This record gives sequence, structure tokens and C-alpha cells, in this order.
Amino acid sequence: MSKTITLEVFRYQPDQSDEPRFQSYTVPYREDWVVLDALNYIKDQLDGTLSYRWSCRMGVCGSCGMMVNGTPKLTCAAFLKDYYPKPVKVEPLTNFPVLRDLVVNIDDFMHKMKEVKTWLIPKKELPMAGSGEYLQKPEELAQYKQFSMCINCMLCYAACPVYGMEPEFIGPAAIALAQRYNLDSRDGAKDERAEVIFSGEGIWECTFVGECSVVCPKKVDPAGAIQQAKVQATKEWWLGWIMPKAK
Amino acid sequence: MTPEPKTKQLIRPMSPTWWLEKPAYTNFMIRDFTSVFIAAYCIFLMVVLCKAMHSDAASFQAFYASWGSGFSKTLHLIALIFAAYHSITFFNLTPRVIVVFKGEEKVPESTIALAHYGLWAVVSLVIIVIGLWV
Amino acid sequence: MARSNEPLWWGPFSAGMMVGALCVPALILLTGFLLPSLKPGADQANRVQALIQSPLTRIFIVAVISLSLFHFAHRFRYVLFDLGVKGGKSLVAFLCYGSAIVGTALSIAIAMRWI
Ligand code: SF4
Ligand code: FES
Repeated sequence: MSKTITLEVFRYQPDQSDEPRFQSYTVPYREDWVVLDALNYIKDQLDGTLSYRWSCRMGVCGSCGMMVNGTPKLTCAAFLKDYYPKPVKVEPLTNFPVLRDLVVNIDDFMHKMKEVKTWLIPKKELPMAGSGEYLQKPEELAQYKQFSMCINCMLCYAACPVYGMEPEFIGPAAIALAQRYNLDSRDGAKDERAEVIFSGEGIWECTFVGECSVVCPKKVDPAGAIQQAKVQATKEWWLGWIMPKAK
Repeated sequence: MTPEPKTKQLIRPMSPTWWLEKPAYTNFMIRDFTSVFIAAYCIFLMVVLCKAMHSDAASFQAFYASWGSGFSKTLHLIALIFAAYHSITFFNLTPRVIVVFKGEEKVPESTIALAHYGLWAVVSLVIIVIGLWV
Repeated sequence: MARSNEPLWWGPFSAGMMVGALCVPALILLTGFLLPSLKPGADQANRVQALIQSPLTRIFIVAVISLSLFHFAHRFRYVLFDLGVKGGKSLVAFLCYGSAIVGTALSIAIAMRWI
């Protein structure tokens, strides 16, 4: 008899019931399968009504984040062999509203990225009417490279109790991404972003629980980014009092 | 200003005991509560300062002798455990906050943490030497 | 949204975190264990009293007390939020930072023999 493993999957079908429930599925166990493979097996072979998000299957797109046994994980990178033979519990990312089964509402995160302007706002217009290049030295790239690895998977938000308590908190990835552009030598919008990330709903809400950085699949270290921003904001604030013209 | 949802959705509120649900969260709570014990010790320091400034030699001698009591030692031990926990967790986190670049390379996290541990050792030694022999 | 004035508190908070981490364990060791065991007696008591009365020690002790209290105030304020205390945010802040300010004033007054 071939080996099997049990998945306890969170179900929420608002067209049928307001109450969520768990449903058990038994799927074949394979050494090289990840949780996402097991979900795909369920969807294809056992129960076509199960809803979840995924795309790349290789830790790039950031869409397959779920709670696996209570920890936020990319399901395409969570191997069944790390849980076998115990059952695996799969739930939608915590701290986000659930739309259906394992699909969460990500509007809030999208909105926050927009608020902190997670795109390059050049310091100066390109020479020659929009053509040409912005040059950057390797050591300038190194300043922000780590923060640019973020794939917007939102695992960090699911790990953040402060976001859970205070949904207004701008949160780990959006602040790390703001820093990604703030530290970019080509960018000139640091002050615009500071209005948002140095506000009461930005970095100051964070108490450095640090779990965001632990669960991040790309080693972005959003918690570090936030503390670095606190130091920077504090320096600027006190300097602003001591020498008001310095800014 | 979270956008209004267009469809029905399920909100799962956080349990008030979230910090008991994962060891990492519990450790965070302990780390943050160390500040209470450090503050309590500072109240003791205030008393020490007050006695040293205001008492005559005889009553300060009596107060000084009371530091050796079992009661005092127990309280000191509790404070020491939490203070040391604060120091260790704090120094371990310093490399995440203080980032130094040497050209393209980041100075390794361990170097920055070790530098802080070194500083800790030096400062502690100075305080102890002065306290015992000056 | 606008930049917050939080750095007013975060400055002393982080300084307190650093000073507490560097100095407090050694101070506890000293007053709790090393002095009573290695240096008991009346002569030693007189020496320690004189040491504390010297201006530099007084500045040091007041700095440790004050910064540690700000460290406590800030952390405690946020711990209460993390524990889900939703109401009375400004009251919590007032009480926390207020206690640090009073503690600082008190220790300065003691050190200066104003009281
Ligand atoms: S910071 Fe890490 S955990 Fe957060 S969204 Fe980006 S990649 Fe995901
Ligand atoms: S499916 Fe793209 S990151 Fe997992």
C-alpha cells in the first residue's frame, strides 16, 4: 500500500454558510511533494470546489502564502516530508479577511503599497527627453538590494501581531519596500514617503516582535528595516530641533 | 483607511492571548517585561542615592549591611536574570539596526554583535572595579 | 498623514535600552552580591557612601535611573497596546511618560540635595 498523508483544510464558503469549518482530505504522500502539490491533487482529484491562489510554483510570485500548521509559509516551498506522518493543517493567512477557503482579501496591502509609493520617483528627469540611463554604482545598489528581494507574499503581515491588533499599521513589507526606494541613489521621494512611514501608523507602531523577518522567505528582514527607519527618523527629528536649517 | 470590501468576508479576530500561542511571541513578551524589572531596580538605586546623600555614617552602615540579607539577594537575583535577558536579547538585535557597509559588502552581523558584547564586558568590568576598589 | 513626534520619546527610550543593557547587570551584581560578600563592614560602607556622593557617580546614577525609566515607560505603553488595551491611549501614554518624568525630577532633586 502506498503512503498517504492527511490535510486538514480550512473551508469558508460564504454562499453556503457564514461559519468556517475544517475538511480532511487524504492524499498520496510523495517525498518531493510540497503542500501546494497536495492542494492541487485535492482540487484535481478529490474536490474541485476548493479555492486557493498560486501561480509560479517556485517561490517567485508570492501568491501561495498560507498558514501551514499555524506558521505562515509559501505552500510551494513547504515540503510534506517535513510534516509527515502527522496531518498538515492548512489555513488562510492570519490577520487578513477571508474571501473564500484559502483566499484572503489583499486590498489592504495593495492600498498600503500605494500609500508609501513603492516605486522609483527619480531625483531628476532623464537627460535628452526621457532617453538615457540612470547610473548606479555597485555599492549604491548594495544599500537597498536586500529590501528589493520582497515578493509581496504577505507572510510577514500574517506573522505580525501588531498588524493583527491594529490593522491601520502600515506593516512590515510596505515599510521595507519604502526603504528599498528611500535607499536608492536614483530616488528623490524620501521626504514624501517619510510623511507616511514616519507617521503614527508607520514605524512607531512596531514593537520589534521580529517574527516578520523569521517567516520571510526572501530574507528581506522587514523588522530590521523598520528599526533602521526609526533610528533615521529620530536622528532627523532631534537634529531638526538642534539645527532647524539642517533639513 | 482600508478600502471597503465589496463582498462578504470572514474576519478572524486575534485572541487576546496571542502571545501565549507561539514560543517566539512569549519570548517577545518576556523581553519587553524585562524593562519592568530594570525599572524596579532603579527605584532601589534611587533609595541608595537618597540614603547616601542624606544619611549619617551610622545609618548608611546599617542600610549597607542590609544588602547582604537573603531577602535583598533574592530580589537582586530576580532583577539580575531579567536584566541579563534584556542585555543578551538587545545585543543580539543590534546588527539588525546598525548596518555598516564596507563598499559593496555588509559588515557581518556577528562582528557587530560581538563588538557590542565586547563593549558590555568592558563597561561591566569598569563598573565593578570602581565599585569594589575606588 | 504627517510625521509623528514619537522621536521625542524614542530617543530616550533607545538610549535607555542601551544604557540598561550595558550597565544594569553589573550594577545589580555589585549591590546584590559582590559588595555584600566581598566588602562587608562599616569601613566599606563609608567608602561606598563617599563614592556615591562624588559628583561623577551621582551623574551616572541619575542618568541610569532616568533613561531606564524612559525605557520602561515606552515599552510598557506599547506592551499594553499589544495586549489589546485599546481605550485610553493618551491616558496610558500620559501615565507612562509622566512616571518617567517624575522619577527623573525626583532623582535629580535627591542627587542635588534639594530634598
Ligand atoms: S518582506 Fe518577506 S515576508 Fe514580507 S511580503 Fe516581502 S517577501 Fe513576503
Ligand atoms: S506559487 Fe508562486 S510563490 Fe508559491
